[in-house]
Amino acid sequence: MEVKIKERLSQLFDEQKINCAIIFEKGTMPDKNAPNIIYNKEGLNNLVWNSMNWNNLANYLPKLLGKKIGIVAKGCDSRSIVLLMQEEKVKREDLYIIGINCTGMIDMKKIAKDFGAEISETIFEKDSVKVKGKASEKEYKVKDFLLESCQVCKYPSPVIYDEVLGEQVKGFEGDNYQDITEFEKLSSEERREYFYKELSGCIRCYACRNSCPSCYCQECFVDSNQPKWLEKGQNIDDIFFYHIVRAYHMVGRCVDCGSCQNACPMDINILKLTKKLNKDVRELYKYECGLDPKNTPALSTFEPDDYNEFIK
Amino acid sequence: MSEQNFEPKILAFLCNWCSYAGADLAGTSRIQYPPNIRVVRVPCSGRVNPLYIIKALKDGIDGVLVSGCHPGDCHYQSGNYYARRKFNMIKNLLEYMGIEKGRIHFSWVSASEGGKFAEVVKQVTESIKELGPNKMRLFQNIK
Repeated sequence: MEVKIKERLSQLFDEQKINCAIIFEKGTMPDKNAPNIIYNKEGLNNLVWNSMNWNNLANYLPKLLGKKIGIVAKGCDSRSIVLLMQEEKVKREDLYIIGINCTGMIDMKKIAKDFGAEISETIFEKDSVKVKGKASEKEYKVKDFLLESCQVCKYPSPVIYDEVLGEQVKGFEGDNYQDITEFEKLSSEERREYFYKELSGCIRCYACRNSCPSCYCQECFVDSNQPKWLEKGQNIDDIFFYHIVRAYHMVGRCVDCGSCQNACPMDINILKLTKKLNKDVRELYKYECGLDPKNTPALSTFEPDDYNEFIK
Repeated sequence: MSEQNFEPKILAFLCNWCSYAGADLAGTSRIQYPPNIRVVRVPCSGRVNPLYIIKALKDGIDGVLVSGCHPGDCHYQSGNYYARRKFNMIKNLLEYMGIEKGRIHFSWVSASEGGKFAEVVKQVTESIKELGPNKMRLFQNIK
């Protein structure tokens, strides 16, 4: 896979079809890969492709507006690209999309917990990873340590692409919002308790916002001081406020890529919020985002006979 | 303040063309309704950013009422239809996060429905009185 991607991107650079590309490189930590934007062929030497590439590369597209971009897109990345096209943050003709049939990304946080010691090296083989520490070594199957969002991924194959690499992968066929349905059954008190516990760990680093391709506002409401929506600091009120509004801004715009949760340094289950909204949008408005650029986002349209019962 | 004579503070976003005129009619017709609401006049219910609702709850208001024109009667053709979708989602999300059901209310009140406006305010005030003071404000104090 890695070789093929390199080959194709270097050809595209040669043909001058693209003048930059968004790729993954080895990160400074052995358990993370880092996205990077390269402007020439030499940059391709550092390219890696393995099961740690959970970042959503579409995140960088709005910042590169006007350039010819080559992008390597997994299923979720491609859905984000569709979303950005709908919102006119990127033009299709500016993009060359190398689609990847994604087999799921590995949850390194879980592995680090299981491994117990500091990870000094990770070596990827076809569907397993060898984790090396100072004194010990262990092998893990990728399949057993998939990320939460990858476990229930319905669209592992890209929905939009110029060419596609890898074998066709079957998506998850069950109900991907099962956990939310179960969580909804709890009483209101229990749910509040849960979120209170979960969110009180938040340090408001905004990694969830920064890693999200749908969050591209020039000035985020949390940074705005005219009007000043919320205070700085770790007051639980402000944390709640931030998370409610962040989730609300994702209504009908979240592709369930899970990069917010993976980016979270405090291990907060943020997907519980966005998935709930996705589920509601799907049930109430029969809409799933990031499938067809011609669709209108759920909140940018309406039906005269939308659900009205909650209004007096 | 003791639980019994708790008087909630309620923020009401009223659309300029229908609900605000409805509230005005309730006033000129001398219809009595609870004095707990604080009215903010907005051009359209679609102008109400859900951020306002959450900000109000965060800053300690006990309940929020958003009222606009009936579907099909919007002065701007479709503002209230968009608003309906937005409100539905924010309402679901807040309930899901464990904020009580009766904190936020939505209603359609036309300019000729002074009686309905008074009725809505009565209902809203009662439901919020039952819930007691806003707990979201007190999040920092529980446990």
